[in-house]
Amino acid sequence: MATGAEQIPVARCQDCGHYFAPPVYSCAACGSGRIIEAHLSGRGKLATYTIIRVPPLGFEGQAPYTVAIIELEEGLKVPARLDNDPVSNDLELFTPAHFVARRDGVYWFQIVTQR
Amino acid sequence: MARRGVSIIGIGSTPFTVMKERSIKDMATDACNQAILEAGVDRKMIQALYVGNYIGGILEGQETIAPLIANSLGLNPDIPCTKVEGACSSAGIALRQGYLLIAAGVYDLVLVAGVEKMTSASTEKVTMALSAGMDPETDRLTGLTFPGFFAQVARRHIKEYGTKIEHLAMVSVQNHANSVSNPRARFREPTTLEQVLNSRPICDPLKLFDCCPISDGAAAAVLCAADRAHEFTKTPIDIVGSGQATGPSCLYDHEDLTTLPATIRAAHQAYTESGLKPQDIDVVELHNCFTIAEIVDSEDLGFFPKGRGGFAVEEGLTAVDGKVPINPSGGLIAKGHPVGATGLGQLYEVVRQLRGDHENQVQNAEIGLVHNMGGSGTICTVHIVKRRG
Repeated sequence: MATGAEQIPVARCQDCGHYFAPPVYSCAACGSGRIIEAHLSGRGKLATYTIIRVPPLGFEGQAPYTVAIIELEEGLKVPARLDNDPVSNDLELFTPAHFVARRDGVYWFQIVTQR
Repeated sequence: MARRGVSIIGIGSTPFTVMKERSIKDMATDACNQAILEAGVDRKMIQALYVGNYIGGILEGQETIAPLIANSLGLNPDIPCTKVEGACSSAGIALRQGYLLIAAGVYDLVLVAGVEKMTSASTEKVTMALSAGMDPETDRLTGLTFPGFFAQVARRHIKEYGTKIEHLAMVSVQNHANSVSNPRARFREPTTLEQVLNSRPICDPLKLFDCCPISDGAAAAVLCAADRAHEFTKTPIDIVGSGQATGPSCLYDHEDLTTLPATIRAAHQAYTESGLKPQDIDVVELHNCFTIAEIVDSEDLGFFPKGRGGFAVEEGLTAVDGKVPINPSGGLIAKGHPVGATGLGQLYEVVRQLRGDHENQVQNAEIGLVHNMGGSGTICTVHIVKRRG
């Protein structure tokens, strides 16, 4: 059971404060090139997900796996893989999820088990 | 700025099916020759060629196909021949480029085509190639696929609006019923709700029968300045509205996970230009690469309120004799989806409807709409076409 969330590294515009899922090369909101790494709480909820059973080349050994979108409590939505094995279709949308790690550019999240 | 009118004076299409023995050049030449012959134009009079193609480079190792096709056809070497790419909306973009150049007064006669060859490659390779339309630094790293993109839209739509799994299945059943009479379609057999619901899961909640089949094919049209169309045909079909817009490159960047805003924007452009409204449209070919896409598109195009697309299918509103006939051809799901050819394949079907000679005819169809989508809802073209009264 996940107890706490790791802080999640994201991109932030130093001029207008807009947050983005990285990488970004300039701010799509204001055009500024001053992008910095910032950290958010890593707490979010499951906005939607799917179980990929027919993977593209390069992912054959991983299927089935769960790809999701997590809406962070600060409002930013990020693409994610769920660290859940075995995969499950019974996850309810809007269930809390916690950031675990960013590996090779991919955010990994864990569903917070309700007690 | 007042634009010059543009008409469709000839159309051509191969079947959209498995044609392993046919090359890109072969299929495109066939569709283009049909369109040129039907238009009755001297091929040396054609002033430009635009060709839509998406993954010929990856799957066939074939690029630079526009001059390849032009030379195969024997077009005038003075003319520009250009490939355009916008994932599954490549052919819709080719159509719009031809439309814009005639509307702007640059040319009078333009040939537009779309072509794709897919079935010779493995499913994994095709899935990888299609993923070339995704952001390689975010979505693609997660192992997301396009079916997975639409599966995530489906799950959210179900949650927010009470859309049922059966609604998705009904879309598949209706499209398969529609394609039975279409000789260009890959699937010619009806299917049942049970067959769809019991088909193999691809990316939950989407199953095999929720997905369009990998297909080969080509389609083409000859476009002409509206004021010259009478020189070639008694039954020109006028393009009265054309739109193209851009949406987010990734699903997570969509504000609303159940709407593809590029559709709304492109449709708004086409409705505004034509002065027409959703309720004026008699027949629709929309981009139903997956069953959920038909539901979402039918809402985003303004035919039904948000969240009601699935219920509209259940109520028969989108059937060939319904209030808004959608995809009487069988659509991408049952007719087939050779990705770079699809937009012009859709136009082919709607033109046949407006001429009144389609195999699955909508009674007295006068105005049609073609909706072609590419990428993660990233590119959309919408064209509204009308027969002359």
